[in-house]
Amino acid sequence: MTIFKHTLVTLCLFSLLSVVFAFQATAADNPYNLAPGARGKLCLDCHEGFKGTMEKKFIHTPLAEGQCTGCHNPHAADHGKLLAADPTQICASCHEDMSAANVRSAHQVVSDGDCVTCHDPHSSDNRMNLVASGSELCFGCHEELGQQVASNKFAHSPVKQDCMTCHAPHFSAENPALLRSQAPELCLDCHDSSKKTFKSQHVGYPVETANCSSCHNPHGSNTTAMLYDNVHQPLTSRMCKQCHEDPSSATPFATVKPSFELCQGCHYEMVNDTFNKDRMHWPVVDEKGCLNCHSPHASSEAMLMKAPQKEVCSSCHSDTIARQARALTKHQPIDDGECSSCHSPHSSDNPFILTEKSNINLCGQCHDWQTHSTHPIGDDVIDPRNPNLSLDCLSCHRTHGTEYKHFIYTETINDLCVQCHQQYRR
Amino acid sequence: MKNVLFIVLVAVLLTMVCQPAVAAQLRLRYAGSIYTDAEGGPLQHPAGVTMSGDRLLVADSGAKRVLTFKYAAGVVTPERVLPLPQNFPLMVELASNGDFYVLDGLERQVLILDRNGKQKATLKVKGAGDKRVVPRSFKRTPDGQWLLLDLFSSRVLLLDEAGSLQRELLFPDGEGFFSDVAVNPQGQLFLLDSVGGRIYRANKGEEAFTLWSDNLKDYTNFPVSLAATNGSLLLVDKYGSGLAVIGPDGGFSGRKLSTGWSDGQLYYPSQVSVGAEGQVFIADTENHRVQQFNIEE
Repeated sequence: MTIFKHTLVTLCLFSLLSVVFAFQATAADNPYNLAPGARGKLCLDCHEGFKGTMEKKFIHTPLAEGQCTGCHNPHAADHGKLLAADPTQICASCHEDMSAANVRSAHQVVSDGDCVTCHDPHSSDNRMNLVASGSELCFGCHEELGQQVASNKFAHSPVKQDCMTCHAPHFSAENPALLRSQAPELCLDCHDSSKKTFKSQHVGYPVETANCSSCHNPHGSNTTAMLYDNVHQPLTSRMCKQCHEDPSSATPFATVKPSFELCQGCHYEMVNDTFNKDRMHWPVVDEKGCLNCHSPHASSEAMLMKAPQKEVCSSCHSDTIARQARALTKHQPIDDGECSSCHSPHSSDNPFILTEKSNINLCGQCHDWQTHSTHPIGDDVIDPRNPNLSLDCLSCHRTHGTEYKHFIYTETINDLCVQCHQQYRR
Repeated sequence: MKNVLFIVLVAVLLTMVCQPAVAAQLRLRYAGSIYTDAEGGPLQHPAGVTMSGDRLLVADSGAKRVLTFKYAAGVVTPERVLPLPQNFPLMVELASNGDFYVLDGLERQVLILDRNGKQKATLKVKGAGDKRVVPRSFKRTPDGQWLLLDLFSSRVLLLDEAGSLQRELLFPDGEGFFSDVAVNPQGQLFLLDSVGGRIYRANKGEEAFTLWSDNLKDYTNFPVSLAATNGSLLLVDKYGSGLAVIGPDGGFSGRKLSTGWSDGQLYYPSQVSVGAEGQVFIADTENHRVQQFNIEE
């Protein structure tokens, strides 16, 4: 009898809980308590333009199921287009695995939650609801790269077809630049390194274990074999042994000399000139030496710089570039990435490794200072703030910018002037 | 017994609480500036300054000379001018026998000058293999050894007075650029990564550096020099024209001084040195002077 009672109670409780859960599920499925048949169809009665949308090849699943309320609130919302949540987060409420923390590289639009840059939230004739297909989609934003790819004499066919052959669209957990894997593994998926021609083209060096993009531009180039457009002479003439050990050695990629000593063999005039200056740009003489800034094989940049100059300089001097970025007045050469307009990148006899001893002369190459100021400057004008200084452009201006206009150090010109002209201090 | 345990516990807690507090309370009081040598000749772009016993040594780089000063009872008196017209002195240290060791930026070697300033040799590293040595910085340790930052071979060398290798510590792995080394009275070595904004430390006898202070880029622009005080480290922020104080736990504990041309301000300083009585000398390079401050805690 007791057993019968217990079973009955348990069954009753189970039934009650089932009813509660079923009600909750229904409420979640139909939060607006829409009448049967009203879903989707109801919306489309007014939104007639959606008929064309519904005829496309790929329709976003909620829309296909008539669940407009999956993304939109039919009554009122805090977001545009009556979206039920923040547009940068609403997609992630279903597609939560499209971004991840602590990844090696992430697509900016994904990080920003700007999914609609690439995907149409309703429908598309392209798979994954993409707004365009293949590389065309990517070149919509990466315009410069698209133009370069279109004009390249030597094209890399996957690039023209679909960037996704090599890149992941959302993030790459372990690789830079959204790459699916890194060279050489990525390249060897298509290129057969066992071919005789592969070996002979690479002069017998086991490049299948090296970084292909050290020489080859994966996006194509105007140089044969898709080498970057500026090629180091020994590579052009396939004289790899000029710098590297013999391909049959145990360490074929090791260089025959370390750091600048290797480069000095050919570039002796430049290196000697560098070493005859008082102030050395110290990375020139560290273990990496010239390779801190230059690519040893080939580069898209002139002088075999490993990246555009501003990028190279900012890899160490990020504070200076950041200062310019937040400065109220920008210094044009920095904006243009021409740090070497003023600085001698290897060495100099002048402070700050400047190209000129006198910063008045240096600034004067671009600025005719007497047109905007007749304040006395020069070696014989002593700075009232410091007996060992004479007045020059840097007495008032900071060339990499300040938080005030015209690179000056103070909020107002008065504040600057009274540093010396103290009798006018208020 | 319980009382003893309680007292010990309180003492430990107080020590823990007070250590960062001491660092945070470090104050610098301006004590004076050196603008000239004994004959009134102005300093030009001095990049190096070192307090050694009662002597103050200045690498007056732009004028290509080393200056010596006598320090007594808070007063700095010019002594000698040691011209180096064929070199570019960046740092200077005093050996126990009275020789001057000068880091020459032009030839990138350490010159040894006798008491009269005559060059008698260059520092040759013995026992470190045939690797090239390019010194970027060097310091004399409290026990009379030489600490040398070798840029070319990515290592820090600890040498005896004769230049024989005692210990070699490789630079830590990873990107960065190492500008300076320092040693504190306890014999701990510190290595500064200017680009990464990090300080690495090796305790006495250890064979490798480990990360000790990180994220200094949040507080400094481009630190280039460091020196140990009693418990803290002072860091010269060259492009930020100021000093950063790093506490005994490796944490940032404040900035001192700011950009400017007047006394007490800095304009692209290069090196800091701390004397036994808490005197802080700064090579205020682009202000063409050396400034003295005293630590008040």
